[in-house]
Amino acid sequence: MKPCANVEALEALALGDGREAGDAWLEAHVGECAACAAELDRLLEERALFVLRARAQDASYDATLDTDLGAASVFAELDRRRERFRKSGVLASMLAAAAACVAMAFAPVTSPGVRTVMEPAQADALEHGATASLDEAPMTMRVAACMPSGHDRDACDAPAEARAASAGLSAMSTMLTRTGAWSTWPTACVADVTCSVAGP
Amino acid sequence: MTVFRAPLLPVVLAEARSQPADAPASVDADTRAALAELYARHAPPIRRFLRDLLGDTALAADATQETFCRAYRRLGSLDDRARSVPWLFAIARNVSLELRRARMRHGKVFVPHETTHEAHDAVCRMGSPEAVLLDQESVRVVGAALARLGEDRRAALLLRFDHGLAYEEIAEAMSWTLAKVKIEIFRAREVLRATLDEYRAGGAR
Repeated sequence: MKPCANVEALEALALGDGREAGDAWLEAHVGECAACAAELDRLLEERALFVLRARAQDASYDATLDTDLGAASVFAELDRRRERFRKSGVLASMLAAAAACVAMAFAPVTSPGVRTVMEPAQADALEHGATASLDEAPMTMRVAACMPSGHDRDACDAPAEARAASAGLSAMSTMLTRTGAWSTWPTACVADVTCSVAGP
Repeated sequence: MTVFRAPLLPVVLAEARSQPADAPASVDADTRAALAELYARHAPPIRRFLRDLLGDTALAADATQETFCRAYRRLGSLDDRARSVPWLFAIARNVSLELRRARMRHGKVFVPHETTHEAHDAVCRMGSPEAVLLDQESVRVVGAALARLGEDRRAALLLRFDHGLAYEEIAEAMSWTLAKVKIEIFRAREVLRATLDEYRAGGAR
């Protein structure tokens, strides 16, 4: 015979979930309904099994789990991780710095103040007008740039390709700064930029 | 032609040194006290839960420590300390899932720990012969039922019947909908009852 009361409500009663509002009615109902009383008995039995089992298992922990020692072990682990993080951070910075120095030494310098890693086609397009090339959407460009402030690009006697690249970077930086996409400009000397410019 | 070389080294170093948001920070006295209190109150049930999920006492101890390490790092995101129970169980479950995945890669499987001598030794150290017998039986029957359940369903049943979490709290801990929690617990309870019936009939050894 199936219980007529909600099994979840009976379960809450068995587990002492603190459903005071409905408890009185439910208890009265269980007193009258054999099916609900049987269901509540089963739920109480099941709960009791878990409680007994928990008691048995927790007793086995007592010898090994001292809460003060346990908390101390967590703090010790946190300290270990902090130290490991500090060491790995220093190592990572040294490696990154070394990699950057190697890249600086070997990358072609294309313009005073501008170091670009660009496809020749992109540079060529920029030489014929940055605006036109930026209208060709979407354009993805990976740029590693170091741009000194106050560099006079008009007076620059760098090769045409480099000037085009410089103009393109300038246009991009203005646009990206305006849109907030290049938020680290100009403080970040190394930036990976993915620029997707919508067409006109 | 002057070639400008930006001072890259300091920038790279500064960026590398900037710590991510979840980087371990020093534990101040207040946080230490909060974590110690959290540990004292919740470590035994969390460890029991992890032991039930992982089936390995030593692994459960490590997972408990990992759970509280993560809890410390996310302590700031816990708005309401009253919600710390489902929050901690959610972290513990995530830890157990990661450990299980790692173990599966090494070809290890879940083995109910109730079959080990440790659990029987533990209950034998307790109280009267009747209490010992009762506890042994409960360990065996519940263990047999849990072994028949999948990991998710087992976790849901444990959270409800062992740890007494409300359905809403289980939904939070498991990242499930309330409806899914109800279904999973209903089905898990069916397995538990079937196991109990077998036990009464002389099976489930």
